[in-house]
Amino acid sequence: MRRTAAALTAVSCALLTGCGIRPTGIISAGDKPFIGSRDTSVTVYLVSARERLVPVVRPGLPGHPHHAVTQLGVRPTSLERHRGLRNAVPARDLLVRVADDPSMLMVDVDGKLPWPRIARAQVVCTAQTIAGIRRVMLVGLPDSEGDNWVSHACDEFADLLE
Amino acid sequence: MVAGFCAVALLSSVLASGLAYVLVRRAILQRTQDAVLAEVRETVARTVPPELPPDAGHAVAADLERALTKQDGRTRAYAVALPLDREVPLPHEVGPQLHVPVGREFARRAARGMVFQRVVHDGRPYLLVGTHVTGYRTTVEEPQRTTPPIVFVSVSLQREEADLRSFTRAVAIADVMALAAAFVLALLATRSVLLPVRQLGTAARALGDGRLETRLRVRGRDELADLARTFNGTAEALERTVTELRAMEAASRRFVADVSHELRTPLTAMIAVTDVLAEEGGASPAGGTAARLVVAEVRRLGVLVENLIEISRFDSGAAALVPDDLVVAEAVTATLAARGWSGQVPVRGPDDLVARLDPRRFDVIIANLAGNALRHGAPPVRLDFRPASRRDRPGFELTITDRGPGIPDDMLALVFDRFVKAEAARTRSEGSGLGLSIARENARLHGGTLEAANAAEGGAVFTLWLPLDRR
Repeated sequence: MRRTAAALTAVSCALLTGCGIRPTGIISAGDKPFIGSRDTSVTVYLVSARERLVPVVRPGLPGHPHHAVTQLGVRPTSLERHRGLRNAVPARDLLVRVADDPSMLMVDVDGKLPWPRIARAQVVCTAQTIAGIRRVMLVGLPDSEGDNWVSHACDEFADLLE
Repeated sequence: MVAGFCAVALLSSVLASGLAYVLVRRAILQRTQDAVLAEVRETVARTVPPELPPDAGHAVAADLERALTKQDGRTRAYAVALPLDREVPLPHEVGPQLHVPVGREFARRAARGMVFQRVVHDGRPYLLVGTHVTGYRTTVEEPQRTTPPIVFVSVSLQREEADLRSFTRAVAIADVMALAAAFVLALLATRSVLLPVRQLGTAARALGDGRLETRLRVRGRDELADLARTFNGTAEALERTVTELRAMEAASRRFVADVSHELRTPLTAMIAVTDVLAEEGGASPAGGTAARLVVAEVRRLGVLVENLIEISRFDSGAAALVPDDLVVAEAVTATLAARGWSGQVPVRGPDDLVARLDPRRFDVIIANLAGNALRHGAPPVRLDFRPASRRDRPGFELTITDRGPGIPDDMLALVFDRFVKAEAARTRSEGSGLGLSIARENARLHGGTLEAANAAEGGAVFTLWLPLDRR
């Protein structure tokens, strides 16, 4: 009888201490996930050594349709630099939004820095490679007449295209 | 037995439920883990592009966090660009990003493959998953700018814990019910087993107490029924044997009684005739001796037959008391005087002690004991009596001591048996060999006792105890 009681106590102790969810060590769950999405690409206009706009292809980012314009905020890749290309856009962060008119893309830029014409051409022409975008407005960057709300098209910079 | 049943039931149900608990817990956790790991794997594979644009890591990380974080707060995610030259920057504090802190080792292993860990943080269980992706392209010169971020996901397991708790509760209730059922079953089972055993015990005790007609009812065909049958057979055989023995004993006693009675009549006649013979034969010396011898032997035969008749009355239960209030001192003195022993046996005791006794039987006891002491022991023979209670019953104790050789130790137990003589060599004695037996039977008839012992200073001591008032 006493032995039975001891066995019962042992079993209940084991059960009580084993109750609940126990922490574990670090457990491997297999290999890293293999990327399953497909390649997309965007076109970005950079500046060549001869001060002309040159289109380059960069990988796209699914779910970010205006990613091409945002890409103008980073410096060219080593491969592009080897080709003598540079980025004339002085801003780091380009905020892109679509206006009420879906064919119009609005880009918020920091107007304190000097924006050469070729930098504006880069943004406008890159934006126009995005499907559905016809015109681009550079908000915060008034034109020579001081008008802040001017929209541009890539045609205006045809002289800069190679 | 009931406790044993219950212990077995409890042990088995606890074992079974413990096993079930472990299995269910494993299943629940496995399911959650598998689901979380599959979702993380699938989301990461879908969200991360095969080739990242330069410096777009933070955008991908934000995408990953958005895709993996659940609105209900159960799942939180943290994605950060994987530095190639230093440790992974981990969230400094547990907060909006993850439920639990991420260890350095976990981050290191997550950079090499998919890992997970169950963590208990603040008493709550969480599942932590960490992974990086593979299958992406990067550049040789600037891998840092195009490496996908590393992802950590923490999932609260409180829902699983609640499930387990409710399961435990259900199992505990089931265990208690099983125990109750076992208790009832044990009661029923032990009733059917223990009841016959108890009956058997009662019957065996009754048989031992002499109720030989005790029988058991045989039920069923199991071992207990077998035992009951055996018991009945044994009791029957015992009863038959004992009845036969009693019948034989009764027959032999009746025979002795009959013989004694048959002998008495001719003996009475013989005694009368031998008295005449002795008077007539007294003329010649030789004839006188012969006649006296014959007379003495015939008288002895008469005493023997009287004693035998007395004994057979005791045996047949026909002996009855005729009690009277008796002054013990007077009765003893009278007995001794009648036998002519007054001078040889000094009597000591209170004069006013009165007991309710059968005078004839008391006389027989005293005469037998005193005669025995005088014949077999050596003088001085003493008779003492004094009041003495036994078992709260008022009575008196009477001892007769002598200074003879005493009773041999091996004879002490047998001295009251019939035809037993202490001195085996002396086969012929004046005694019938029945005197002490008759004395003891008479003492018993009064509700008293008669015992024999040897005194420390030598000589036999016979102790008679009789109650003052026979109940």
